Amino acid sequence: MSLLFRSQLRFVRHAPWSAATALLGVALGVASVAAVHLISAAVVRSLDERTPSHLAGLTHVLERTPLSADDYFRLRAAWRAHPDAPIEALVPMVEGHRLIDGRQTLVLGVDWLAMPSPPLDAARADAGESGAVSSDVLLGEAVVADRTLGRAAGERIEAVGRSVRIDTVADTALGPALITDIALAQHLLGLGPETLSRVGLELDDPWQPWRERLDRLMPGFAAGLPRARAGTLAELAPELERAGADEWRARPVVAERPEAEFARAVLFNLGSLGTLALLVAWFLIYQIGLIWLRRQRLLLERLHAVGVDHRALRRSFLSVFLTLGALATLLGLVGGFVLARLLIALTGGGLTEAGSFGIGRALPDVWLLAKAVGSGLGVCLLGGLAAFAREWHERNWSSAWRLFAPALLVLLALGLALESTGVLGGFLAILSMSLLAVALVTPLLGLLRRRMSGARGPLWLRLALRDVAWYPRLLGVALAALSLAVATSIGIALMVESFRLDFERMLDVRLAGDLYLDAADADSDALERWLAARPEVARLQAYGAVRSRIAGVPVELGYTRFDAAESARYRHPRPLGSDEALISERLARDLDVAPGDVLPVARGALTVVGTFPGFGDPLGRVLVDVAALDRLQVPAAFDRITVHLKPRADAAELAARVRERFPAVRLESRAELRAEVLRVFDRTFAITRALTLVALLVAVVGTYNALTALRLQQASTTRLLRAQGMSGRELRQIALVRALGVGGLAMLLALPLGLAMAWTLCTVINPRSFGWSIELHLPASGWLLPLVLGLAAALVAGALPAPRERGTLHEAA
Amino acid sequence: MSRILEVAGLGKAYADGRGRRRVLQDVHLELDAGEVVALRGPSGSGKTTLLNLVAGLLEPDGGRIRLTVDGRTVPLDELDEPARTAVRRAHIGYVFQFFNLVPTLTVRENVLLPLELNRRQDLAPRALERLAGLGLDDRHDAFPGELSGGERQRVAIARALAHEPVLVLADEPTGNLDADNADRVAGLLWQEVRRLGSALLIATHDSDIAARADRVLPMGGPVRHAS
Amino acid sequence: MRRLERIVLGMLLAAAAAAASAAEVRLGELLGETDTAGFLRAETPRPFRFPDDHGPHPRYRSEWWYLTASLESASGEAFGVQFTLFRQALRPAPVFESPWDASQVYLAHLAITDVAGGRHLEAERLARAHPRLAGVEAAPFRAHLDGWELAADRPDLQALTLSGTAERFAVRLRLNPVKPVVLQGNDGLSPKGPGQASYYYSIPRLAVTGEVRVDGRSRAVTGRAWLDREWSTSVLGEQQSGWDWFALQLDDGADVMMFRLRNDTGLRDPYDQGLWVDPDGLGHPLRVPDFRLEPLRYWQDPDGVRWPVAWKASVMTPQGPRRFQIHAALDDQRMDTLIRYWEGMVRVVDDDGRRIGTGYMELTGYD
Repeated sequence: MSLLFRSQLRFVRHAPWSAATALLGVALGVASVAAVHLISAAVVRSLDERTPSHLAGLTHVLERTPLSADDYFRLRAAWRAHPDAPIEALVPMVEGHRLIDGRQTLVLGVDWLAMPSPPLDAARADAGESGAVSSDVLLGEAVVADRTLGRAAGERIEAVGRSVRIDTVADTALGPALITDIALAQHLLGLGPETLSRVGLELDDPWQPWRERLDRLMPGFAAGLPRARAGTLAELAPELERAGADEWRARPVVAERPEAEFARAVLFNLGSLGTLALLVAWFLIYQIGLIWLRRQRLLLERLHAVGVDHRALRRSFLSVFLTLGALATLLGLVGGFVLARLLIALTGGGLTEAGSFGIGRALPDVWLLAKAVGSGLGVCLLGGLAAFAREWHERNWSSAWRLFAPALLVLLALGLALESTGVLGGFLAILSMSLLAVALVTPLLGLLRRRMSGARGPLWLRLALRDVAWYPRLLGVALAALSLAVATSIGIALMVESFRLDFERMLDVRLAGDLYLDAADADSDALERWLAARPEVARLQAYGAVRSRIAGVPVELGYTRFDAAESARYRHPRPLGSDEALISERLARDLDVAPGDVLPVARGALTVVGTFPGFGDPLGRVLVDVAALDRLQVPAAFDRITVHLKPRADAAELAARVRERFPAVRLESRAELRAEVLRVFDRTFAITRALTLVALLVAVVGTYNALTALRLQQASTTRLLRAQGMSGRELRQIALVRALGVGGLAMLLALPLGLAMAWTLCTVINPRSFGWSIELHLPASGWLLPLVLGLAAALVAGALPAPRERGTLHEAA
Repeated sequence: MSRILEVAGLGKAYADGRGRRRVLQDVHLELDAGEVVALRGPSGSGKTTLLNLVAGLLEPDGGRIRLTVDGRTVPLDELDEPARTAVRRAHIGYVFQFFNLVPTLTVRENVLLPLELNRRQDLAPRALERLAGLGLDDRHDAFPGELSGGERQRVAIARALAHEPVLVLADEPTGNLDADNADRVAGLLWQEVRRLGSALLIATHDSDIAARADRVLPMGGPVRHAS
Repeated sequence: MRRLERIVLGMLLAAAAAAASAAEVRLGELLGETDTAGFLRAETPRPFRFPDDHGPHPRYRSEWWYLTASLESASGEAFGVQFTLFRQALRPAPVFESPWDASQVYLAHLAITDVAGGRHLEAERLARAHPRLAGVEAAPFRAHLDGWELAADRPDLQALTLSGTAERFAVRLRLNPVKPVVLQGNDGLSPKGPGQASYYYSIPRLAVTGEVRVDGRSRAVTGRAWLDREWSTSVLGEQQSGWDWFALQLDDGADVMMFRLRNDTGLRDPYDQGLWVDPDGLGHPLRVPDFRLEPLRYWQDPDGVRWPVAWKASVMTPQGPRRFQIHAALDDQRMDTLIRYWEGMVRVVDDDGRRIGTGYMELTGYD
């Protein structure tokens, strides 16, 4: 065995170039997986740290109408009488809005002692760096305040005849919010002790540990699973059915934190992309395995003839690949850290604050190590195994494919058609179409070969193009890898470009004003009065928003004076009536409502008259006219003002005056705002683009390898042609055209696959991930660039000098 | 009889692991039109090297190689690589032991390959006639992979002679064939070379083949001079 | 048991969002002198008034209702049952006029020991005081937390009922005092250290009938129970690390309570005390020289903690000296609750190994 292994290692020493390319390819694959893991883990960590403590440990939120304390206690008694019910905790909560310091503030109260005990981690998270939260929060003598309130720990809030200390300032992602004990919250909101808003539930879920493990393995994975549908408590805990559990609606707690869900969906998309480079690396290893086996075939046959059995041969062959895999894993881990830093830098810290991305914290992450080792070794082992089966045992997978292809087709159809399969279903559909496309490579080459047999044309062209079709085993894999990488590039680029076009279009409609003022920290009434008195101001539009709920779903309720001009920004033809609302596409999906439906909002009802895209809004949005606020009993407070200037008025001058007079006002011009928004947009997708580039790089390495192998395979033909009097230039021309042929064929496959991917991303994945759909545009920059890049990559691979490796055994014979 | 090839004082050494290994030293050889000379010697005696030097695929360390075409003498040893390639393309045919044919071209395309390279389509009918004469009339559209060893070497002969070169070089053309096939292929090679009036320099270690030659130049051992 | 008081408070504060895990909570800091401001303290003997004193004393910081029972089924299988309700005041007076006011918090432990089955199961519940959640009322007596309840039909604690259901077990017991209330310590003032004391009384013997269910199997049981009541504001001294407490019921009709405070010095704590109760219900306080307790055997739990599960005891009773041994009915009767302690049924045997009684033992502060 060790002798065989040594002989294999010597062989690899004589094939340093292909070994190096294998190493590079797998290391890039591992690096891409590791980088995505590092980024995702950092993001998930910061998300977890931001879990508002009133939701820590809970799995569901329960509601019923009406909901009184008595309902809660009856439910609690029923649970306690059935200890076998899969419930770990029931937590009463109240929630409502109150103007505090002139700001719409969300007040949340819970019974801390009913929380899944002990909520220490959450408590620590809320505490941030400042240390402990005192028991005063539990006692209703202090509150946890969201950072957006702009207050500091230790300060006091005067409200409803009480002076309440701010115990801690935290990032709750709830906007202006106070979290405190139920008794204080009821007092602040003017609610009686009988009033509850909802009940938190911790369900004992036997699958939870597995889900958590999966999520550790692939941070954000849970976001890819179909969204748990809202149901009744009776479905979750049938033991309580007779206790009226069917009157309680249960919604998964993730719906309470759409921001976190949003971020996790981004992570899932990244995770799927991160594995792409790995898939391409697998192709590379498989191909190198084939080439090496072909070169050693005679030697291995001799060894077999003198009595070495197949298993020992395979073992020695695979052990070389495992050695490669181990090296590549190490390289990939180091590369992963570098890549992660680069990617984070690309986003400008958009995904996660650079500070929270601590490499030191990531190092002891066994999941990262397991994943890197699994990826590196797994790819090498599986690639080597498949190559051995194919080349040594002459295993042909066409019959397996015949079984597999219909299954893939079914998966594709289900993933696309059934919304309930979630983001995972969408990505499985993409995977299916990719594999189907890959399966088409060999038949396509066969078809090409038949077509070319009788083809006429210049000799060099015939020679070069036939080479492409003649060696499907050598080139097929590289072709598949290259077309997959390019197709993904096309798919992503088209999706991003389409998204950007839609986004810009939306911006152009929405950004109608000349100056945008954020007066959250200033006296907005004074600002508005001052602006109204300025001669150069044509029109003022003040905006405000409040977090609310519709049928239990958290929403942002935005309000302004909805005249015809304002309505036009949302492509609605008329002013909004006081009983009318526009809602975001995401909310329409979540609530399954369409224009014409009536929605219960706050303490009133509104008729939906239209929808708008709402890109980038993690929260569903409802827009109403200020006149509706009275009906809904929502107190109005405005914190953003848009200024429309008269023609020829100087926006810069007015801006300067505002800054001078109201230093606390944040102010941006239309151009600044537009540029800023687009910059954020581009950064958001920088990682996505970079990851496809890494996959493309691996594919280029694979193509280079395949073309080199082809050149070695062609050595005798080349000699013959030289003997025949063909010049070096003519031979180089043939090599180049051959590379162009390989590239062209890959692109031929990549273009339709890329288009299909783009369509799936725009119309299937995006709505399922983020709740908005994107109109698919086909700008040349989206598909041409990856095509040219792929073609250029193939050309470069063909033009690079072939390394001198020990020739094939044919040459040696 | 006109002189086709004149080789004088030819020497060639290769670098190997320990230094330079002298393969050919002071080789002299003359070849007239219609003449067949066999190079005989064991493996490693420099037969293939000599053929490659004459073909212009290799550059000699010293000595002269003169090829006479249409009364004009070309000093091959003095030409640069592109010029040697041009001479080889137009005036020399080469038959190898293995891999004589381009696998991605049909029999017909392989045979017509030299004509395409030389833009001499006018010779195509004669070349295809020759192919028919070699007994391969019905295999025009077959690919080399579909042919037997003997058939492949016959196509190789048709290919080497298609552009009607003045000099044909053959490196163990029958080395890979059984006795019957070897005899048949050798017979056809002789017949076609004679018919064209070209000179044939053939490397072989087969005594039967060597016996057919007009002269035999033994290779290996002490370096010989041929007269 | 005062150790538990710390534990309860520590846990509540932890639950209320302390900075460290419960085990790390620096109790001394949390219970500094200022924390007791506004609370009443047990400093001098007081007249006890029943049934009022069966109810809560919210102006004192902590309080408990502690019921332990040694039971036997018809076929002779032995069971132990423990039900404890702790009350902890987080502030001396409510600040909200709402039933949700979090000034008072309750913690309950329910446990069963199935000697034949070799099982000790426990459950824990925590809630703020709220008429629908947790609390204690004096007359008619009712101490309850989230479905577990010790209640009496009559004001004098006659015809008590204990009912509680947990995940793997349930108890439903009817209890009738067969001895009157006895005051512990100095007429009910039980000193624990310099300036530190609690009010402490017991009903040392109640007759029990009822039903226990363990892992789906029910048995009818009979036996005897012990009810302890204690409230205070003061805390354990820093040098005291834990205590060993015994409530034993002898088959000849006598009952005895003893506790031993463990301190850093290794010497006997001058505040160790006990009470011998005659079969007719008359109590005789035991001071340090009146009793000795010495560990006979230790049991090491899977975490490496050694618990003294067998003891040698000698007590000077009014009738003369008595010697006996105390053996855990089951070695592992740890309370695997948020804070770990050992509370379990014991058998009392004479020097020849014959059973002469049953009871309960509590071991705290062993980590």
